[in-house]
Amino acid sequence: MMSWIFSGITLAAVLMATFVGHMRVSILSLWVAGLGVGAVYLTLGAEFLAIVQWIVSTLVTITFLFFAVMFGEYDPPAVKRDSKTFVVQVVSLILGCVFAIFLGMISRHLPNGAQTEFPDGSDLKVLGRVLTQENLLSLEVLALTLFLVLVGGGVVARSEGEESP
Amino acid sequence: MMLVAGLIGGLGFVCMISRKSMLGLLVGVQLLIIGSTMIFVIAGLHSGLRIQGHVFGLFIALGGIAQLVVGYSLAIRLFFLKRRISLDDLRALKQ
Repeated sequence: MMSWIFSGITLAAVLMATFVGHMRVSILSLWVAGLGVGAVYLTLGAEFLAIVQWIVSTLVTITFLFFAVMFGEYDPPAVKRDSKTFVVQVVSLILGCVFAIFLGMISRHLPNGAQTEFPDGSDLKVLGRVLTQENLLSLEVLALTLFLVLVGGGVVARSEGEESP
Repeated sequence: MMLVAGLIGGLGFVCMISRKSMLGLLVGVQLLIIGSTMIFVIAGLHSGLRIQGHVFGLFIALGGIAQLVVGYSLAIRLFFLKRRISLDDLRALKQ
């Protein structure tokens, strides 16, 4: 029951993040959506993932808010909605609904009933063991990828001497 | 519950397509990542592979950090070149 309540809150926040015109409201709605998904994870027995989701969502929200404050005043003025914009929104909405219906059809082939008792111990203990013993290489690849992205981001965003004001 | 995750991902897709600004695109990508993470967690829960679903979700959520860094650096680069961050200017990052 609680997971459905949190799912409803999350869906409302996602709808606001998608369709609200004001960008800062959209970003704050994204934060609420992230918190709601974390709460859903908590009700599904994924405590560690819930904490990671909350941290990542908060980090993303703070960064996007900085982004909006830094660059917001340079955004082009709002253009008048024309028929092309309306068609793009309707087509993208149809595509999104098709994607959701497709996933709903897939979920019918999953075994009925979620697992509610976890005989293999707490989430954190088992997850740590699986990560370090079975997925150590994947973890290293992820760490290396994040490191490369950090360096690449610095290279892309660097200022070039003769062009800098 | 899987339908909810699909709706979140689908609405992220809608946001990616319909928004005109770089920040709107990044918001859409983040929603798509949240939806895909939720799909793996719920699929793992229903199929008896709970921990494997959590591991996949963890990797996807942490991969979202990469999206954040790349998007932010692209926006800075774009602003440095064009003095604005409209998506229409993203066709070329070289002057």
